[in-house]
Amino acid sequence: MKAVEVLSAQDVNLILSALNEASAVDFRDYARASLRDRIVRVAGLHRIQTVEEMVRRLREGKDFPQKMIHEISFNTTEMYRDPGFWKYIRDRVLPDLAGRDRIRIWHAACGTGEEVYSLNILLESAGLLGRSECLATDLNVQALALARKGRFPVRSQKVHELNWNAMGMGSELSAHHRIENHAMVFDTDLVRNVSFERHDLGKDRVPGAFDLLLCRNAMIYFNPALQEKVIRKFVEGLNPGGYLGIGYKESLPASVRGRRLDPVDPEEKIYKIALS
Amino acid sequence: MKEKRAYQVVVIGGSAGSFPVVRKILSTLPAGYPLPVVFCLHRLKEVRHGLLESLAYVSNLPVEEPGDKQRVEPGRVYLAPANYHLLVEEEHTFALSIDREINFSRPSIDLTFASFGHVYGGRMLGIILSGANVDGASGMLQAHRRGALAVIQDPEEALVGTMPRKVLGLFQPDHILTSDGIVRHLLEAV
Repeated sequence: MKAVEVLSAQDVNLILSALNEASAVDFRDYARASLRDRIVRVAGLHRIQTVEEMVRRLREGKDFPQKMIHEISFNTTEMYRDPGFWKYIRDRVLPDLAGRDRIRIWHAACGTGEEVYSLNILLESAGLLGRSECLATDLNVQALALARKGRFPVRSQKVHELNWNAMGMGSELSAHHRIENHAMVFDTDLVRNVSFERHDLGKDRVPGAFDLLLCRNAMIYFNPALQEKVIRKFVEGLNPGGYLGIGYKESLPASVRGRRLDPVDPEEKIYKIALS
Repeated sequence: MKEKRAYQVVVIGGSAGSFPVVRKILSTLPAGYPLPVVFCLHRLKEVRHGLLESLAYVSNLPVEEPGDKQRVEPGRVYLAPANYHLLVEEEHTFALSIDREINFSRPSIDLTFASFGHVYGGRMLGIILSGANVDGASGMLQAHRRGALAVIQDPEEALVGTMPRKVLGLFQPDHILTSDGIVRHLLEAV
């Protein structure tokens, strides 16, 4: 019996195939290093000690496959992670988009929603909330449920506030939320223009045409082939003059780099689709 | 004792008090040193610039913070970027993650050592330096179990001995060396 801690590439393939058969969710094109760690964590949480046992529980169906999907696809980030990125959004991107009648925004792989609330506070400050329509999608339905509620654990309050303070907004982040039951709770009215929906970036079509598309530190969990496939979808889904923002240490694959995408802030990884 | 294994990577973890040793290593390894040298150092998460520049200034080898999916290449020094975990794929490309902090750290030395140990096994030369946190000890153990050479900085010499002592608490490393000994070992290992 093969212990879970020493998972080989073949073991991971076996587990992911069983998971795909049980749930129609396919993680086989995800980056393996981080995925391996997550699979080992699932094993620990469910007291599974061998590869054979994990495959058996996946094949049994019931609720284990969904629990596994939840664990390996649950992502959380910081509000205003990389304040330099958000300053560029506030000071250059939003003013540029302000001329449009409607501003269509997609938060792809939004996780628990920190960036959705971050952006909406900036939209509200700029008087653009009423004209913005936001779509926030993720593979993980529990993460989406949390995002809809606007509740973030109070243990992460300090990091959100540190980032917020670096933005120089002239107010406290606490002006935008209350504290309730060990959570920072944002008014759901702040996200009245946001539709939270389940979406599989690998499988599903681009859900519209957007002026601003944020997908930060999610494609680090995809292998290069999947990342390329997803970026191509993003390029298709952006309106002329629209913006794409990715994570600080991510990059666009060589095949799409330069293809109608102009790096307007090369340090913060913000790109603009050519106007024509 | 000389170990003339065919190493493919050097992985070094450090926290409080490790900076002088890092500088010593980088200023001594010659240009053309044939291995990739990967540093996972605890660092301020909101400080993006400064650490890389100060290391590059003293280094004879090019120093960079790798991007996601960038190749691990010989003769280059890599510094784990702030606020990401640094892992490696079987294809020898860097893999980043923003998963929860491990031992209050991101980058976590445990995750880097475990990941490189898994991929490189006996081809990894791992070194734990001074630090006030226990992050790295369990990762070093996992790497060692996969065959990696385990070196710690002598806790008596380290400015903060907690991190190397924690390794000693888990298993007997292959070598306990002063910083001069570490540099000599790195030069002799290739």
